[in-house]
Amino acid sequence: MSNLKNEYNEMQASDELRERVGKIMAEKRKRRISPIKAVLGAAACFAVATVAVFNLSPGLAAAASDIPVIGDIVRVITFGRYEYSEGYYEANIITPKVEGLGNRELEDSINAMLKADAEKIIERFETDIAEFRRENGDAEIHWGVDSDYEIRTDNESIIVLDVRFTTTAATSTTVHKFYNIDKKNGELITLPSLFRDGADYITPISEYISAEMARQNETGDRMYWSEGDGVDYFTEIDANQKFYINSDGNIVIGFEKYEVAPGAAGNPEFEIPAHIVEGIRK
Amino acid sequence: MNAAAKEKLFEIYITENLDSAYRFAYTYMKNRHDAEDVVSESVVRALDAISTLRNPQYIKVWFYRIIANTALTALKKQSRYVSVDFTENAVEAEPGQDDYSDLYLNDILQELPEKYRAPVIMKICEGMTLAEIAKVLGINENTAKTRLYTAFGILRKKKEELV
Repeated sequence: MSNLKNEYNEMQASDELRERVGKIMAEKRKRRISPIKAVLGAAACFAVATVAVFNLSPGLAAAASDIPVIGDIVRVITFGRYEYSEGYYEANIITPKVEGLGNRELEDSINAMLKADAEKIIERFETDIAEFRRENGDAEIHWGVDSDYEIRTDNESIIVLDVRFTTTAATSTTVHKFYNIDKKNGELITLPSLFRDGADYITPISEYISAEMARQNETGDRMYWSEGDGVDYFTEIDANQKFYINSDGNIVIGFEKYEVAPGAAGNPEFEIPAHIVEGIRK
Repeated sequence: MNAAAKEKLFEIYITENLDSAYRFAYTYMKNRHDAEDVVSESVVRALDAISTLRNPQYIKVWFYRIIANTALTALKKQSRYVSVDFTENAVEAEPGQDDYSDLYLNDILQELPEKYRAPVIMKICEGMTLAEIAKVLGINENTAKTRLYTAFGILRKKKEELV
C-alpha cells in the first residue's frame, strides 16, 4: 500500500465533529416539526393533561357527579371558519366546538383551548405571510395553513375529537391534537386514567411499539429510527403520550412527524392490541 | 426507494463514513477546523437535498459532490482561492504501476492546487473510477482524466527537481 493511502486513511474525524454532525441531524428534525408545534406551544399531550388536572379538582368532580347521564347529546360542531386565499398564500382554519357535555366547566375549557389554538395559528399565518412577502415579493412559493377536525370515535361512552393543523411550505407538516372525551362522566380521558392505579403501562406498550417498529423495519413497510442510526430513536412512551381510543376500544399511540421516523413516515400511529394491556387496564 | 428510506440511508451512511467524508473535505481545506466546518455544512445541505439522491447506490458520489461544492464555496469565501491553471505548462504523465509509491500526503496537499488534489485522492486513496471522479467534480470523464494526468505530471516534475 502506498504511503499516501496509508497517511490518508489514518486521518479520522474527531469526536467533536461526530457530535456536531449528530446534533445537526437531530436539530434538523426538530426544526421540521415547527412551526405548527412551536405555535401551539407544548406537545398536545400536555395541553390535554392540563385540562385533566383541572377536571380533577374536588369542586368540579362533585359538580360533574350531580349531572345526569346525557352522553347521547355530546356532539362536536363547526364553530369558526377562517379563510384566506391570495396568490400562493392560502389558509383554511376550521374550528370545532364541543356541546352537550355534562361537565360545563370542562366543556368551556376544551372550547377555549380549541379557540385559542385556532387564533394562534391565524395570527402566526398573518405575520408569516407579511414577512414572507417583504422578503420574497411575489415569489411562486406556496404557503398554506390548514386546520380541520375529525371524529375518530363516537359511541355510547366516548367521543374522540382529532384536531389537525397542517402547514405547507414546500413540504407539509401536520400536528394532531386528540381530545378523548368520556361522555358519561363528562371527563377528558388521560392515558394514566385508563389503567389501574400504580400499574406500569409504559413498559408493555413501549415494548410492543419497539417490536412493531423492528418488524416494520424488517419487512420494509416503514422505516423508524433505530439504534445505530446515530439519532434519537424510540425507547419508551411518555407517561402522557399522545393517544386516542379507537372504535374497537383499543388505545392508539400517536407520534409527531420526525419524532420516531424520517419525515416521509408522517405521523405514525400504533394500535395497541388489547392483550398487551390485559390485566392492567381498568 | 422512498424519501423516508433515503433519509435513513443517509443518516446511516454518514454515521459510518464520517472519517472518509472528513478526509475528503480535508483534501480541499488542508486544516482540521475548516474541514470540520465543510463536513457539517455538507450534512445540512445533503439533508435539505435528499430528494436529489436518485440512486442510493451512488450515495458516496452524491455526497462527495456536495462536499466538493461546499468546500469550493468555502475556499472562495476565504478569498484564499486562486484558480491556477497548470494545464498549459505542465507535462501530463500517465500514472504507472509504481508511480505513486513514493508519494506522501504532504506532496499532494502542498504541491497540488485544489483542482488537482481531489482527483488524485479519489483515484489513489479511494480507488474510485474515472466515471465516479468525473461525477463528483461535475466534469466529463476526459477532463477528469486530463486533470489526473496533469497532477501526476506536476508531482513527477517536483520529484525530479528534488533529485
